[in-house]
Amino acid sequence: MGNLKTRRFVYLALFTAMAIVLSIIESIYIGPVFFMVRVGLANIVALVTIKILGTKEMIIVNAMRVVISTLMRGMIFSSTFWISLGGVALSSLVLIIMDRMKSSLMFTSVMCSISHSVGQVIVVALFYMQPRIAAILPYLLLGSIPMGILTGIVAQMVLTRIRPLKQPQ
Amino acid sequence: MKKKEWILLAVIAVVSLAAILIMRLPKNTAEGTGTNHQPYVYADDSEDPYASAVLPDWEPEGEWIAVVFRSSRVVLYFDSGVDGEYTVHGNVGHMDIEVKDRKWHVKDVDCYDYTCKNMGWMSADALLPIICLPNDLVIIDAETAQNMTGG
Repeated sequence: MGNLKTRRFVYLALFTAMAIVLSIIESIYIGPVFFMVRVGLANIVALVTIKILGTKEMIIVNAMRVVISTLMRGMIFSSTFWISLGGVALSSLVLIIMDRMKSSLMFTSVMCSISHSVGQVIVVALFYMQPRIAAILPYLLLGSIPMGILTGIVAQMVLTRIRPLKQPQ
Repeated sequence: MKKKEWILLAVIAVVSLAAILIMRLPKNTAEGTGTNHQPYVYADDSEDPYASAVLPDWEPEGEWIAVVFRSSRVVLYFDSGVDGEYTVHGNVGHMDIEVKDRKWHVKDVDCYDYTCKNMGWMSADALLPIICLPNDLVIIDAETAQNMTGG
């Protein structure tokens, strides 16, 4: 029992570290691949975490990812931080719902990608008092589908190689 | 993926495509009035570093477009109907804006993101403002800018 608890803790630390590193690499070195759509590499870690460790751990990984990656880039509590937090909060919520509904991993990944974009647009609209920014949503939704499928494929490949540690529901 | 999941994704894709096509429909633009005034006004920060630019009271050839810094200060108004190039400064560095044929875009920007540069050319009927998050600069129509800055 103690061994399992240690393993969970180590996995949680590793996933958090991976999410932070992927988030920083993506924001600095990769950038948007199409219009404003990013791949969402850190979403792979969120998907893997909820399947392997569980919901609570996924929330911890996502929260730590936003806080530490913006802190390391010197942008904590800036507009970037709140926009990032908005995207992650909504995508985490959707991820939990999809996990409860037993949706396929690929569909969950696409919905997470979509909700991440929607969350960010909502925060930008509130932050800059610009409801017209919603006009960008069709582009983001369209771009999120292939990106979500891509992250879903990678998450699927990871999950076939790691045994889940969470209790079956 | 299950069949209904594919259907739902297809519906999202089709609705998004339809929305994009509707937004890209051409709109008629009003002709300019032909004035000889200066086509731009920068904020005068020689006395007050937080001073906003004053919205010009003459009619523009196109329409007045504002560059807002930190959602609180208009640093530049330019006439979208007169070709020109303008430079403003944000959190990270400079931003060069080019105006041509009643359209404007970010020609060059000093930041790591380049999203504003990649947004391309905007016109009066564009639904989106150009936003540069690292520099905290927004390029938007004058009326919305005044509502945003409270001035």
